[in-house]
This record gives sequence, C-alpha cells and structure tokens, in this order.
Amino acid sequence: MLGHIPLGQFIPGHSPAHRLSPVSKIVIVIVSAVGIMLLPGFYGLLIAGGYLLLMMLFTGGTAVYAFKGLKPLWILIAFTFIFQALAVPGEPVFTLGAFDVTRQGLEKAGLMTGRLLFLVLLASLLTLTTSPIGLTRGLEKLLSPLKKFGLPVHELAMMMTIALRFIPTLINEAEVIIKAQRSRGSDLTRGNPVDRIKALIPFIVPLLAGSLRRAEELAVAMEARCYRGGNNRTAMKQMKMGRIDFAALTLALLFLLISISARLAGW
Amino acid sequence: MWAIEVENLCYTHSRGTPFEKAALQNVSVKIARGQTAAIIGPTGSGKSTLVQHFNGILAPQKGTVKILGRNAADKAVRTGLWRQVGLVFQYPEQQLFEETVYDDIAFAPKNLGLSKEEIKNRVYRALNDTGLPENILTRSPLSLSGGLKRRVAIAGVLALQPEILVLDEPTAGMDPVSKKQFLNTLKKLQQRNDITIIMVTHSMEDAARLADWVLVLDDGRAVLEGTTREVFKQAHKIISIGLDVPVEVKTMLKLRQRGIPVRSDVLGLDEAVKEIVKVKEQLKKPGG
Amino acid sequence: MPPSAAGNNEPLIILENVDYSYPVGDGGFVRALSGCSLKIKRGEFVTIAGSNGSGKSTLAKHLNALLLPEKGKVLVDGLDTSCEDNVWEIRRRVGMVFQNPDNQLVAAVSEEDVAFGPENLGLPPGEIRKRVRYYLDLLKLTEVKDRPPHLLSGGQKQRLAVAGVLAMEPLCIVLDEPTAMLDPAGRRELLQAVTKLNRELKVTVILITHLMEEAVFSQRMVLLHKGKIVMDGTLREIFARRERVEGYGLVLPEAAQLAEKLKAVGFHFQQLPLSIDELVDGLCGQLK
Repeated sequence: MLGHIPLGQFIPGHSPAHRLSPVSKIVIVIVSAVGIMLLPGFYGLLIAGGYLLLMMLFTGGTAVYAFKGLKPLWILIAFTFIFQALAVPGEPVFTLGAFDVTRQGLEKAGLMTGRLLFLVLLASLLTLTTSPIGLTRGLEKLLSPLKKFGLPVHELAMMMTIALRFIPTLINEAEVIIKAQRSRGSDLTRGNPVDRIKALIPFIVPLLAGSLRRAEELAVAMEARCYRGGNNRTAMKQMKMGRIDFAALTLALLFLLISISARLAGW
Repeated sequence: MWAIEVENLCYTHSRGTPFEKAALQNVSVKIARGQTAAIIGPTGSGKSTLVQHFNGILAPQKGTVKILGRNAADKAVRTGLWRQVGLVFQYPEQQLFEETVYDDIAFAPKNLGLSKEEIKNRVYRALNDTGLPENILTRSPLSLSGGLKRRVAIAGVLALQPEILVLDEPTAGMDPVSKKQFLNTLKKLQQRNDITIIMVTHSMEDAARLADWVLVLDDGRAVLEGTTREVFKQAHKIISIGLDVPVEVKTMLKLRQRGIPVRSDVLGLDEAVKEIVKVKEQLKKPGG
Repeated sequence: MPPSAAGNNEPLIILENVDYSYPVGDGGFVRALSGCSLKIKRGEFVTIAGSNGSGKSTLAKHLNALLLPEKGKVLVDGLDTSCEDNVWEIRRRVGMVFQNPDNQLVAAVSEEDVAFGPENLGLPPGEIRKRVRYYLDLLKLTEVKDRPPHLLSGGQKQRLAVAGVLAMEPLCIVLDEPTAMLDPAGRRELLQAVTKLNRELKVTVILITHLMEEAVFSQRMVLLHKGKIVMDGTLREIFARRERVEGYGLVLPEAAQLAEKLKAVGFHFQQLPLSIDELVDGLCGQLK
C-alpha cells in the first residue's frame, strides 16, 4: 500500500545514541566518515570496523535495523566490488573473459567495498536514532553561520518540516483520488503511451489542486499564529550539549586522529 | 434477488507489514435489490473498507463478495464492477479535474464507451437529479463553491446510471439547505425502479429517515442488522458502541426512564408526536 | 493562564459598518459583508451562524486582521485592524481555529505544533515548555504528544489546533466551522472542550457554524444572511422565530423542532426547549 512507506526509518528509543543532540550526531557522522575514508589498508578497515561496532553498542539494539537496511543495497555493493576488481591493473590471479582479475584489483575492491559498507552503516545509524524533525533542527543549527552569507537557513528548515508533516497526508489523498477515479472507470493500462500519459491527468490535476488549496490554507493558518519568518523566533527544544555529547565527540575526533596518523605513517 | 451478498469477509490493511491492521473481521451481510441501506458505525469501524469491496476497488482477502449475483473473487468480474456500482467517496469534490463541469460529469460515461448522444443525455439527467442549473455546465468545476462542487461530483457518479449507488458519508459538512436538497435527490432516485442505494453515514437522523435497512459495524464486525425500526429498537446497544440514536428515539427513551410508557421504536418526529399524544390520552382515561 | 481582562469594561471586539467584497475571476466583485456592526464583550461565548455564502467565514477573518474592511472599522481590544503596526498585537489577542484540521497543523510532531505559536512570539524556551505541557493536558492530548498529527483522529487534530492557539494565550478564540469535518464523537469532544475554556478560563469564544444545535452552549447568537447581520440575541429569542430562521437557510435543533410539533398538537412549554432534557422535563409535567 502507498500509505505506509516508512519514511526515514527512524526507530524511537532511549539509548545513549538517541539521547545525543542531533547536532553532535551529524558532526560525529561527518568526522567518522572522513576517518573511514582516510584509514588505509586492511588494518585500517579492521579499526574502522571495531569503531563502528563500538558505536553500535550504544544504540540499544537499534543497530540491528541498520543491517536489515543493507539488503536492498547488495547489488550496489556487488557492483562496486566487481568494478574495482576488474579496473585495477597488476598481477593477474585469474581471467574472466576479456578481463584479468588482479591481486591488486581484489585488494582494492575489498577495501572499497568495506568502506562503502561502513559508510552506509554509519549513515543509517544516524537516521535510525534521530527523528526527521531532529535532523532538520540539527542541520538548521549547523548551517546557521551561513545565514551571514545570505543562505535562507530557517526557511529551508521550515520547508523540510512542512514537507515531513504533509507527505503522509498527501499520500493518503493520492490514494483516495486514485480509488475515486478508478470508480469512474479510469484505466492507466489501456491504449498507447500517449493515451496512458493522458490518463494520468485525472489523478494529477486533483492532487495538484488539493496541494495548492492546502498550501494556501496553511499559509493563512501560519500567519494567524503570528508566523513571520525566522527573526525573533525562539525554539522550545534547545539543543544543549551534555556530557555524553562531549564524550562522543571526543571519541570521534580520536578516531579521526588515528586515521590521519595511520595515513601519514604510510600503512 | 440480492444486490450485495457478503459472507465472512475479512480484510487487513498493509498485510504482511509491521503496520498491519485488521479492518473487517468475518463480516456477513445481504442487501436486497431496490433497497436503501444505511451502514453506520464509529470512525475506524470498517465502513469505508466494506463498501470499497462493492465496486471492486478492494479485492476480498478472505470470504466471498457477490455483487448482483457475480463473484468478485474473479478479477474479470471485479474490474468491470464500476460499470454497475457507482461509488461516491467522502469529500468527492476532490476528484474534480476537467476544464468544464460538463466534461467532468461526462468522464464516467465516456469511460463506459457510450455514444456522444447518450453521454449528453446522461449528463443532463444527472444534472437534473442533483438539481444543478444548466448554466453551470460551461464553468470550471474547480472555481465553484464547496457546496456546488460536491453536487457536481455526485452528478459525475450518477452519470454512470449505476444499478447500485454507494455513498460514503455524502452529507459530511453540508449546510442544512444543501443537505435537504441532497436528501431530495436521494428520495427521487429511490422512487426509480430497481436502484439499490447504500449509504455510509454518521447521521442517525438520515439513516432513520431514508433507510429501509440498517447495518451497524463496530471494530470491523457486524454487530446489528435488520430493518431500520428493528435496529433502532436496540438503542442501548447502539449507544454502548459510542453512537447516537435519532433525537425522537432518545426523547422516548428518556420519557420511559421517567416512567412514561411510550414506545421507543419510533422513526421520525411525526411518529414520536403521534405516540406521545396516544400515551397522553391513555394516561388521562380513568384507571389507564 | 490567559491574561485576565477582568475590570476592563470596553467590548473586546467592535465592528462598525464593515463592508467587504471579494474579487471574482472576470474582474468583478462579490459583496460578502455589508454594513456589519457588532460588539463582543470580554468573556462572552457567541455563535455566529449562517448558511453557505452568508459571509460568516469572511466575518471571522476580519476578527484578527486576516482580512481588512473595505469600509468601516474593526477594533480588537481597542486596536484598529487596518493599522499595519497593530497586526501582530491583534493576532496574539485573537487566535483562530479553521475548518480543515489537516491544513493548519504545521509541525511533524504534536507537541511541537503547540509550540509553534509561542515560538513565533519569541517566548523563552522554559515558558514555551510550560505552556505546551499545560495546554496539551487541558485538551487531554498529553498521551499523543509525541505522535505525528496525521496519526491522530479528527477530533484530536482539532483539539491540537485549539491547544496551539491557546498556547499563545489569546483573549479570544475564533473557531471557523471547526466541526465540519469531524464525526459526532469528535464534534462532541471539541464543543465540550471549548465550552470549558469559556467557563473556566474565561476565554472569549466565537463559534462560526451552520449547525444551530452547536450553539446550545453559547449565551448569544448572531445570524448572518447574505452578508448582513439579520438577528442578534439569546438562543431562545432566536429559536422562537422558527420561520424567519428557516428563511435564512438554517434549521432549529431537532429537539426544538420536536417541541414545535408537540406545540401544534396542544402541548405547551413555558419556554422553548433547547435540548432533549429540557423537552423531556417539559413533557413529563403534562403527561403525568
């Protein structure tokens, strides 16, 4: 059914990872991602794996869903592996049709695939433990220095919030409109491609008209509640950094430091 | 002959996902041809899910659904049901899309593959049935007021000239004038031979005034069914699932609580008045 | 608690000869309000009733400067709405709840939606949290505070909208057909909540509706017809003029209709019953 796409896959919980401020989580993910990319060689991969595992221990079991979420990605991962394995010249191990599979190629492929896997896991740890609204607020906070350069940070965040609020409502509406037009004999499976595209009009026009009407009413309702942009606005939820945030950030920075040193040391 | 025969119908939304929710559980119901039936129940009781089986929008997951004697388990039957069963959704005004009212009402007849002449006849008849003026035909449906939009949308389904007309809360949010007009439309249709009308409604008054037969759903189960009088006779049961009963029934129940021996199975204000007058005369007689 | 207005004897809202016209597609105008004059006292519960197109929503939007009068004047707590500098002060005094619950909730989480207004006012976070907690509790929504609005029932959504408006602690709350999209249970919940606000928190309430039975909790009723204020008085004064009311496209509550019919066959009531309980009280004396 259309109405039940789990958006963002956020799993509510009370683990330390859930309690971290979204701002620190976003920073940690960026720092860790850089670290993972920098760590060279198989030992590097091992360290990155250990680090990820450590992070997962603080998610109260939610991390299990990160592995479940990998399933649809296996094609991408396999493709990365094969592409890397074939693309790198060197000592041939065996031949696959016109291509030589080389030792260097396999090593590189293993490394790249490992990194990709870790990055995906890392990103999903963030979305699993942070509500979309938390992510929005975190991004707004992180980007707020850019306001000085004219980036409409508050407006962008407000747009994201409203999108999150209305996507389920619009999906519901679309479902009803589809049913209603089918009840009047609409059929998307008949005729040539031109007919089929034409047959979309009865669905798209009402959905568009409905969205416009909603947008208009929402704008009036927001105005009635004294909304006038981001200036002089306060927030109920202050993103205060706690001890746990500093601990987690320190850990992430330590990891980055290790990666940089390993890279400089030429592992 | 039966218009609708439903036996042990079960339906679960989002089956096989963590969001699974049972909407219908072993519902059985039969509605005879030519009847007007009301389906009532609290929000979320499965009313809309049930009626969406009647025109093939939903396929039965378990149990059987027969419409006009044909089994809806057969996909070929199901996909053709919209030709005989018109379904007016809640807030049908949101399905309007054409440039003119004429084209919007003509949308379903066009999909039936009818001749231009026949389409025109049907549009005018639907217009007449819903009491819309002819000069509206060239206007854009999206520019009309809410009340008119609703009527155009209903006309768009009536233009199918269905054998069974299903309406999902058609009077929701209507003002008294529009409501009266709409109920007149329904009464006019009722007098026509052989059309079966099925109305999902929250308004007990509408059910009491219009329906011959009532089905009460609660939490996906059929809890009461029968003639309108039989059903409203069991007022306590209806009240116990959080629904109202018509004003006249409520008044009679309260009078009985005060020890006045009136019947409570009255339908319509006039019947209530008659009953109260009758009891008053009985009480006046010595020894009565 | 909303700021108390005790001791201030000036009316909260004054409309003086307000005219307003809407532009229509072809360059013309449609008169929506003409010569409307109205005073609303602090702490009153007023119902403004009228059929579709009577101008009641247009009138409502004048009460917090969403629309400005074309002619005449609107004063809110002494502030003229046509003076641009007053707009935000007026909007924090007069909150507004609209018909469609879905299209007025902004945030993706219920409690954040309640915080939206206070955040716009620039209140300190601690104060916002206090208000959010208080008004969620007042409207019995604490249980659903972490849920996204689309998973709430219609009645809950509308109460959330009310909580969001109250969290700005206005002097007055205007509800523009707030029950039109609710089922009977949701309608009852909302009307009870609003009545409680008026009685216990002394918030001025203006309820816009086309259903006269929703007015039974209010002390005063204003009838609008074709943009003009045609009646203004207590409920009983207005309900006593049934024919006139029906001429304006409205109908009396069913209990009052039943009472009228009983009067026609010789029953009499000292005053017209507004509810079933009053009707039954009046009848018992005549039957026993």
